[in-house]
Amino acid sequence: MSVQRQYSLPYCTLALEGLSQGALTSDAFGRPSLDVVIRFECKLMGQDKRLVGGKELLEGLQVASAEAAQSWLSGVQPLRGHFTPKGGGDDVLLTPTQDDHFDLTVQQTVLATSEPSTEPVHLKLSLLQLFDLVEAFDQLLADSQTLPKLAWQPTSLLRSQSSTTGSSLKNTAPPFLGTSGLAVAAALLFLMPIPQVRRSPEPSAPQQTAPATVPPVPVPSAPVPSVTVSPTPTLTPSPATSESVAPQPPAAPEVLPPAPESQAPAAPAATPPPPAAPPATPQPTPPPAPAATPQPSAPVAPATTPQPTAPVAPPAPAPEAPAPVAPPPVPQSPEPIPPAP
Amino acid sequence: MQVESPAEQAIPLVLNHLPDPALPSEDCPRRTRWEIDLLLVALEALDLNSGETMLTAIKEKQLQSVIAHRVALWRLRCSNPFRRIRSRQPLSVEQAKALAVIVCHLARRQTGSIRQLLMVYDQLQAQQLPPDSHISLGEYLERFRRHFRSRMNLRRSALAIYSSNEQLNELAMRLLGQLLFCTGTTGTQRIWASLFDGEVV
Repeated sequence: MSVQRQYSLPYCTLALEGLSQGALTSDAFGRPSLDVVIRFECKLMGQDKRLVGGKELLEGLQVASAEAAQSWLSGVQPLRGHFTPKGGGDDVLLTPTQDDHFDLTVQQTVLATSEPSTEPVHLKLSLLQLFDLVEAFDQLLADSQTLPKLAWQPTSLLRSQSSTTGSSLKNTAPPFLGTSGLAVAAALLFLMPIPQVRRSPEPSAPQQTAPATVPPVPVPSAPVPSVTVSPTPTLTPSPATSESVAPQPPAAPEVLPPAPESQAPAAPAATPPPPAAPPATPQPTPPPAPAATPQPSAPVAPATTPQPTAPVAPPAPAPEAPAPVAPPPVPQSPEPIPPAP
Repeated sequence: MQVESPAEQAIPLVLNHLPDPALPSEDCPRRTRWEIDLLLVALEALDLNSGETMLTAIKEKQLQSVIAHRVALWRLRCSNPFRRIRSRQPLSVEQAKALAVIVCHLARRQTGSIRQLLMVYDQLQAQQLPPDSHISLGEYLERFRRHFRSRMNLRRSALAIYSSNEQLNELAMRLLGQLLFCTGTTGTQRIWASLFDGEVV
């Protein structure tokens, strides 16, 4: 018994003609079963050519469309690079294009045409046409009265069968470029000279010996008042402002006043050098003193000749009257001062 | 008399139609979580009322044992690794199945809109016109871009490719095509299989 079935969708129509092998296989609606396909026709809306063939065309087109749809959905392409029927030949190929279209290529071997041509048929399908083609086949497969032996279930591609980016070159290029770039940069930087840290050994050397030897002690202290005195005259009216203007030099002479009074007893008692200092400092200090700040600098410089302690210690030691604490700052304080000159 | 062990919650029948993928771990891979959430975002851009429709779909498909309430649904969606607010909670296969069923259920309700927008997009492309020139399509694209930018962590380097409107439009149209396949007879099985392409061992 001849049976005809048609599955219509807006962009695709499948028409089947076949034979029913038994009248007992009808369903509840009395539809006979289509068991053998004699003629299969696929009509895609917007396409001039109709695809007419037999069972080979039907099966090839169904598998190719299903695999193409799944690969488009997931963005994961099989390693083969194109979609071919599982276990079949290359009679029906469906490959995606750059603009979300699909190229359908059907060989003449599966087509039943009267024209003696060996050229394969090429069709360009849009996404909607592909979906309707897939959906028509899904409806055909879901119909238990049409080709009941034909079955197909979507399955996920194995990790070993897929290539997410299409080529191994794309996978290996980024790490290779990164490693090579790092190597080139390292080679270029290796050619550059190592920057050397410059440290003035002179200022540090005398200061370390400062507490031990008398002569160096006045040297740092001497320039301090001499240099600071000259600027201070202009700012003499307020000692406080001079501190802010010139951080280090003026601070020595002007902050000193409080220090000598508090440290006077402590410094001489703790460190032997101070007593020797006074004779040395008076010589440089007196000349500038009268010219600049008479009151603070002149008397202070000679009196506090323990010099180094004066600039740093003044604020702290003054309140911290304890004498034994004073000496430790002495060796440390010279360090900040020497760099200044 | 107390029950010593709580009764096991039965897996909804609708989930039994989807096969369990042979994954190396029990949880869904990153790409699966990312794509399911993107499909839901596209559905939200397509239908303003889709948030409530999702909750209705959970009841209609009897998925309450997997997704109990609105917050549970939100937590599952936050398993997307590229969300601005994301949870460390993994997405189990059953939960992913439930989300896939919801996606397909909502997509089928929007079949007409999806087909029409894709048809318009093809026509605009043939005329070399920008997709925003059509009102309905422009609204969908604009809503999708807004949803994407407000929910995804754009500082992630993987999302740098979606920095411009054109790139987001392409993504939105691709998701629309995926939703079209969800509307098919075997749409759920098809989209479910595609979510694990290249992930099964």
